[in-house]
Amino acid sequence: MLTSRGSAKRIAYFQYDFDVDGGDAGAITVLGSNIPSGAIITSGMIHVNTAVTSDGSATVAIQAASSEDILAATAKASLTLNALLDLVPVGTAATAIRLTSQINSLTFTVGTAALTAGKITACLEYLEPTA
Amino acid sequence: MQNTSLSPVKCVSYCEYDFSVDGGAVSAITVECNPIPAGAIITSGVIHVKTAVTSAGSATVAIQALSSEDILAATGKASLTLNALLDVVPVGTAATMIRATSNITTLTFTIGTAALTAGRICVALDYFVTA
Repeated sequence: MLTSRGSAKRIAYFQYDFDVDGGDAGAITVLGSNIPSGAIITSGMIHVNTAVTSDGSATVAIQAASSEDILAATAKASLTLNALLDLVPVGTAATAIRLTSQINSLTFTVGTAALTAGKITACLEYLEPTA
Repeated sequence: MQNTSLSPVKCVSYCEYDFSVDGGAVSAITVECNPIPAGAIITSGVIHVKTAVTSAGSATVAIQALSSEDILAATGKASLTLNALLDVVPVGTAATMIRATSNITTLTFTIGTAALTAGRICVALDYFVTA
């Protein structure tokens, strides 16, 4: 049977910008698109708009609902200008994330050392709640 | 923290090669597509053969957006049958994605080995805009 749900796959963007958000080691909340409770994040990608730099061995991890569920801690060496990175969800059921509450932000966790520059866009594809 | 101004949609560009319109000589045939802006990231897509490709010889078809065979490697007519669905080179992984370094308004269909005598091929490319 047909359902009343929309037929489009949804996209949510979240953009971390050092100039706006700072880069201290720790958790940085980055607001973006709203994703409703019950949605299923299936896939997406990360684009490094501006290279991530640091005086130390900085890492960046990204979280939607639980630690590193979008991007595992990734060293600055992999976050170069125009780098494209896979998300943890790669279009398989085993890696998909079902949200148990609404989110409108991602947490970018800077590890080991502070950042001195960087701009990262996370693009998340999701299915609307199925119940 | 910030809200992103990026539009929460994934875009699709369509391009349709039609033998009856574009001809089928062994050559590079330029076919208009829905514009893809510079900076966009082509993540995936699909090729749909709407009319079987035929040829008196062992014709091949390759498709290019920015560089040779970056959308479809040279493919024999035997694979281009009515309603065949083919993967494009970008298959949703960071390693295969294409970042458009300039506006894309056409795709190039390269006919190899022998001329075509029929065929209609639709290409749909999914892309994100992250800037």
